[in-house]
Amino acid sequence: MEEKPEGLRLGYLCYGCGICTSSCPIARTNPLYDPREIIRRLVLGEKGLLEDPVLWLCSMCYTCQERCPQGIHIADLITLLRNISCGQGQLPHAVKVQLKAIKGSGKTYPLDEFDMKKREKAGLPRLKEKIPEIEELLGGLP
Amino acid sequence: MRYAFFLGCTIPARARNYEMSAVEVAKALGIELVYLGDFSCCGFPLKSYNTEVAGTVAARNIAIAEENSLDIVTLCSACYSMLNEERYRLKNDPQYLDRINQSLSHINKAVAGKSQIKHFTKILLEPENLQKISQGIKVDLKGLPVAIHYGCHYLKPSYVFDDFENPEEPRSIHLIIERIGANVVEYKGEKDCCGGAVLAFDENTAINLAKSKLINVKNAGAKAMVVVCPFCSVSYDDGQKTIEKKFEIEIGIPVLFLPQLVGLSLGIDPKALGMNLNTVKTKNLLEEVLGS
Repeated sequence: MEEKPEGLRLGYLCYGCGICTSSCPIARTNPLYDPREIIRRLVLGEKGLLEDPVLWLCSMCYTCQERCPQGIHIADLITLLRNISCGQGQLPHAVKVQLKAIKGSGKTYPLDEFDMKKREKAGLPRLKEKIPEIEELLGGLP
Repeated sequence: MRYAFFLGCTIPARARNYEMSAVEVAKALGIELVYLGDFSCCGFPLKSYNTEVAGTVAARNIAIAEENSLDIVTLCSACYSMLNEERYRLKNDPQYLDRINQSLSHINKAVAGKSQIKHFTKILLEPENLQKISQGIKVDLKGLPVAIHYGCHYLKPSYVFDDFENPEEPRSIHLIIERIGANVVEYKGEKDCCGGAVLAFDENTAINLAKSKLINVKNAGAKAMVVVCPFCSVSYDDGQKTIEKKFEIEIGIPVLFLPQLVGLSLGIDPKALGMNLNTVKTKNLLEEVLGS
């Protein structure tokens, strides 16, 4: 990841109309979360933004992105900020858990013999317990 | 039609009723779903960590479908959007395509972005399948009031989908529900997200979001809710008991996967549709629909 990815510059197109925040189901439920504010903090270059756990409250529903009159890919921008934050070593616990599971088995929910029995009982075919190629692809990651 | 059947992670482990009912409905309509054993996670959960790592995992899955000259059909909406986003990027950014193929070359794979990625719901919507559904109806649903939850990734980000549907006014699931003789109930907050994706980061926010929708669905007079994504089912079906207990309220709305309801109307045995695997009991609903 480069230090200033091109995508981040899109934030400068924001004129602060607030359609994102007024459309956001998370903002309506949790007052800590405000996508317009995140874009503003990004544009102002606030250093603490990358460490702020609010970045992880977005549910990736894309409503803000679909409605933004400036065409800013807001959800994708938040993903990018998360990527940069992870790149600096700040991985939330849930991300570490998922990364470990996918690296190990190729799936977020590895299937064990118990699951396979349940599948057979339901008339569904057995599936592979492990996809070793994924470990090859992701081998170098933490 | 033949499709590579892409299950992802959540369905084979936690939503076998979705898989069972889709398999049954596909059989009834003559759609062939091919299990390709080498599919992995779609890559979606890795997106927040590193978009390109997630994309590499997604591209490997597309490469496998391409090796078999098949288009992909998904049941999970997160897999649907992830694989479509990846296909969009592969097709529109030649440098990205090169980088991904360089990574895939280590496991002797290559991707072109040719195989299409479809949602099972969109397959049902194809004219010949809609016609087969109409001809195959065995059970009259007599206008059963049903609330649809489209969810997010079935529609968005809209620019990546070949079969674009307006996310502000989706109608595809309406068409199927109306075709099988149920009645679509409108409710407040229809387009709101289920909150599933924040469950691991802030449980309270996720639960509050799911609660509002369940209450709105109940107040609108729906007797069942229909979903097309396993995460939405986790929020509304698995999560319903937790919500009832936490807020001391009664909801009791069965949450069905779309193929379960379609299967019932086609006269398929409820057990084969995994109706006994739904968390909120479907017994009363089945009695009402099937009589007994």
